[in-house]
Amino acid sequence: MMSIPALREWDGPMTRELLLEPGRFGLGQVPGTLKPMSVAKAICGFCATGCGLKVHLDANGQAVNVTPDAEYPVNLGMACPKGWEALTPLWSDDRGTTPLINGVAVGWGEALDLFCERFREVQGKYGARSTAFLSTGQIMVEEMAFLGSLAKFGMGMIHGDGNTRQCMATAATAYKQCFGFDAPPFTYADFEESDVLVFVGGNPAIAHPIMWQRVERNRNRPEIIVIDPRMTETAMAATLHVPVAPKMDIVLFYCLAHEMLKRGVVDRDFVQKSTSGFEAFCAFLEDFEPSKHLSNMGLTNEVFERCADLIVKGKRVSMWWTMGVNQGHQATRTAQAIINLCLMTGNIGRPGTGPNSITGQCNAMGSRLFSNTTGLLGGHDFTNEKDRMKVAEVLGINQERIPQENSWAYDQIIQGIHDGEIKGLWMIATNPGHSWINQKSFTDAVKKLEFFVVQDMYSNTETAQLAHLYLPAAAWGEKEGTFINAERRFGVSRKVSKAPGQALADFSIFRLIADAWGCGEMFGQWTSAESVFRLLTQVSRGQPCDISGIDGFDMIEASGGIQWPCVGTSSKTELKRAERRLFEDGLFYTPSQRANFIFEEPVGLPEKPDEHYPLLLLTGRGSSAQWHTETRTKKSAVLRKLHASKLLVDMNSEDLVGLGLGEGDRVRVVSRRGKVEAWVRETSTIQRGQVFLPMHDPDVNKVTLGVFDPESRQPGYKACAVKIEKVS
Amino acid sequence: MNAVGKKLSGDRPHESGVTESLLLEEVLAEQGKLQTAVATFAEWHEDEPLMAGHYRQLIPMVRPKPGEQYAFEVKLDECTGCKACVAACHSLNGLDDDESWRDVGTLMTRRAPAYMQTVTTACHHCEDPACANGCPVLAYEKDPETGIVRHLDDQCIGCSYCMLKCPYEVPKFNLRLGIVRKCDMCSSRLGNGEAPACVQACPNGAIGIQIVLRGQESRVVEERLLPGVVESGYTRPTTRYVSSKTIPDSAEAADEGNLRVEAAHWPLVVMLVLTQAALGVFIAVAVSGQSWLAWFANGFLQVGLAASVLHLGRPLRAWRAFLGWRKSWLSREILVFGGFAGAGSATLVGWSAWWAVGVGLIGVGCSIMVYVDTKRPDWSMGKTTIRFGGTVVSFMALAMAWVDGRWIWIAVIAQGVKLGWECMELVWDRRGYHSRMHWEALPVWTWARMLGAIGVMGLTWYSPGLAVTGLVAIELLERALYFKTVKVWRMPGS
Repeated sequence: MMSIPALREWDGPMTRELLLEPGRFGLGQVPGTLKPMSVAKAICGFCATGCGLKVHLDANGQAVNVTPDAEYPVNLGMACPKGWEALTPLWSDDRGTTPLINGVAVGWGEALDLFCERFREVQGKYGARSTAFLSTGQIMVEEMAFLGSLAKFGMGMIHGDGNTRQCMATAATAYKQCFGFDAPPFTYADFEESDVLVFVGGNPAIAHPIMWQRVERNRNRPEIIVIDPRMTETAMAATLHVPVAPKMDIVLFYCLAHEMLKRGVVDRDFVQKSTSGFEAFCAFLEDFEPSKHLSNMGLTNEVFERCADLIVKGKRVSMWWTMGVNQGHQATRTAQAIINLCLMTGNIGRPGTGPNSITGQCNAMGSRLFSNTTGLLGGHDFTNEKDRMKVAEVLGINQERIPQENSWAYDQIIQGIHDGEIKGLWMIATNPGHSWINQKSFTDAVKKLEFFVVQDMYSNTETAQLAHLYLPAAAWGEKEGTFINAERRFGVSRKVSKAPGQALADFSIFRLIADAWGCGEMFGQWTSAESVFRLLTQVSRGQPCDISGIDGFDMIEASGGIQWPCVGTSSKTELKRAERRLFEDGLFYTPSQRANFIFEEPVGLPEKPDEHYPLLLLTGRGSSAQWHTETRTKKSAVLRKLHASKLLVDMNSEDLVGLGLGEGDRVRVVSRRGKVEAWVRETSTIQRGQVFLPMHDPDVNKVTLGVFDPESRQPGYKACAVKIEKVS
Repeated sequence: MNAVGKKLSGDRPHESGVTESLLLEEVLAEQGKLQTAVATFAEWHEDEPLMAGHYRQLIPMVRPKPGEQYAFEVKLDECTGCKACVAACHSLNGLDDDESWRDVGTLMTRRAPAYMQTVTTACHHCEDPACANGCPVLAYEKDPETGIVRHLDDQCIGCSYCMLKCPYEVPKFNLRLGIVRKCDMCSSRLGNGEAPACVQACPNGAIGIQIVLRGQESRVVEERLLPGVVESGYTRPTTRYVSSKTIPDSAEAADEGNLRVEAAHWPLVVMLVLTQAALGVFIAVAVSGQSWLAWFANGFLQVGLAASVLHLGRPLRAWRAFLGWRKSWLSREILVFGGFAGAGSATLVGWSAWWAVGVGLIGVGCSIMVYVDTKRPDWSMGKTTIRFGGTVVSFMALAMAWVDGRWIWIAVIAQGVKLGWECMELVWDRRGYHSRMHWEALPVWTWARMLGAIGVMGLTWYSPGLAVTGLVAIELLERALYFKTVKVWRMPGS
């Protein structure tokens, strides 16, 4: 019998669709349709903040939703939009599901045969040195170690590097030269404990929102200085914005150091006990009388003085830098200029201090220590015989298998392809067909390869489309392993979702290749991520990054992540201190145990604006919802709606008037190397003579200039000369 | 390169074929297995959610007293553009693909002083909610205790009128369900002492819930929540945006001035033009006494009303459309047009056409009010009446011309006046949004409308009967432009 319909339906199927129910597990209410039967923990696989996530699982153990982990010491229950949407890219329907040979689907057996046959053929013709690999900061520590070991010890490659070269090489090099080891000294608690925070070339408010959260939690009413040519979201929240001219930050830091000397605020005691090279640095600083450099830096005396005042007044000054520093033609020296400033004022080794590099990718730090690319596993040195012996012994391999020379850097490998020295390339979880500086130099190089393999979760990335052989990889969330975050914290990520089709964890792919190549025996112990992790703890023994005290994944998970070092003798209470910093004893990892002052005469812009290309192009992150080349973030409809739907070029109104352009006009940004179309956004946040493009559009790197820091070999994405043309 | 894809011979560079296939099977099987559940009893928190400590200060401890209600408070100093609130709203409410009830936009200056501010925004749970006032089926309920403006999803007919009414773009259409859905301040969470999703998820604690007094002066005078948004007197929004910085006078939405083509709403375009055409022809019937014309008038009317049903996402629920008649012009329009259809049909059985004219005039009046009531400047009383009334007059005159050649002049003039008005609007403020929408965003549509109108005026000379078809076509274009070019009130976008 039909009942008479109510005049107003307060309930019904559509209403019930949105009902919330207690999620249990401390989650509070969750959508009733996605109520978890259990939860697993993971570390977010996007950036190096390393947020803990709680993955909601259904009865089959399959992930259905994700929320930030309220108990994880890094993010305290928060995540940026990428973290909230971490699962969505896994479920996009364009995942790679089978290996592809020249775009044609094949089985794994055939793919592995081709992989071995072709690489052996290339090696037979041109020698083992003619094959190389380029990897990533996005896969797990254990996978990185496997890849580097397989390629170098197993397959005889000499050259291999990671895309971390594009973001972190400068920080690693700067620390290594100054401290004797690639050792970012800080812990995130320092954000909360400073009374003065200096951000250089970074926009953490949108690039690292969860680190910014820690700044916002600072109860000391801190002064926040933002050194950046643009008035970013972070600069807007700062107490002082120092709009330094692009790439003049190195001069600014030398001038500030000069000012510290002049004002007599040097921490003589610390400098004497814990550093070397200070006298030479003082002599060098004589040329940096601030007044002489103000106009070059584009700063007023008032702003400079105020910046110096704040740093002098601060009792706990921390300085944080990101890509604005790391990606420059003199990047290492710029980072070291920051380190020098901290050393001379004694702002290191105490709570709320430090020259602190904010890292980019989720496992950039793992790559820096364990990828076996630039350095031998565990921060060791390929050229050091003792190191080679030690690693060979721990891994149970013949020492002869370990190369005795350092690898080429990323740009040198690409140059090697152009020069005909590299003929076979294996690329894992990275997309230089989009992201490589002066992009064409990469895409041209690939055409010269005799064999090019791309291993990725998608077969349709700009780079994968160029591959002869594509290998489908399982993604974050479909495998297990550890990441190391920016504050040296190991975190464990679990397998929570099924991989599509025949996609396999990178770890499994490496196992298969080792076996197919015929070096399976060498990796007999490498059967699971955790078994490899245990090997690495042994490799790290005695190193600054000693993690021999970590007993497996469960211990990491139960501790809320563990920062290195963690030696066997670390007491439980020591571990309980969830946040630890380095150099509290004033002893560094150099042979003399002193930190080095390192400095060099500043070099001007490699491509100055001129009459033909009158504007300076800056690049950077567009929004919190976009990750690098967007291979993953563009798969989420929610993330897509959080950024502009077309490429916007930020321009200053005075430049626009000069060009006869206005808001919303369609233009071409043209450099000597290429061009990209964009729409004008007139904004007060960019200075006259400069324009800004977010880096995520695939055409932006057609314009950028291929310059590299001579010390770190990191590309200088941030500044090149362009002109703007109207598209009619 | 051609060697790459070649089929391999049986020769293998190694002898591990058997092991490999076993290993391959092993790793494929392993990949297919998910780990067993890892949650332990130790993590089984039956009581307070783990985030409670974080958000306890951000929500009120008590329920609103009479004369009070809940309201969002946004601390702009702490809103630094991470947009986690948008993603969290989506995830914690189990919404569809790109569905989220919170948005983040940007306010900024074009020239010095340099200024930029991201702005998070959701439903403002207005004291006088325009969505509820416009809803023909009473699918909105302003909760008497909490003041939360709740949407009844099973009541909604998917007419989307609330989307036109809300000046903050809060109700969002869900194509899968054919209804709109909106923020309910996570009332179920609030009711259990938990914070709404966005409040829980903001890393900086920028969003909070406060209890505010109803009827506060600041919400009735000509204030605005933020620069560039509608005057608060329209709906009396309860959200408060607080900042330690002064927002510069020159600050505007980052997307201000960006041309945005709105939906054409074709069923409404057809309905409006044809009901107005019908009224015009009924007038001609009444004046001329030519009853055969009534067949045309009824044809227009029936097709127009039928078309309007296509606008509904859930037409089977539409029988409730009378419920909102006290406040909703749309409800009134529907009721009166029902009568219009009746009076129109009655002319075919001998009733005087003046009945249909009378009811139709009231109906078209309601149509005008439906759009005027959205408070969109492009849809003001003057602009809308000229268009809708102009359509009525044009059809009336043309129908008269059809039966009486002396009316041809008047028919041409009527069409000319309407076209002239539209042209004048475009010339008046040539750099204005309205003109730019026509000439920059929709030039083909605009030219088609203008030249078409001139063509129909010419055609009227030769054959008023044929011109009727032409007039329908170009009036549809005019009406589509009316919808597509309208500048809507909204919160800052980016």
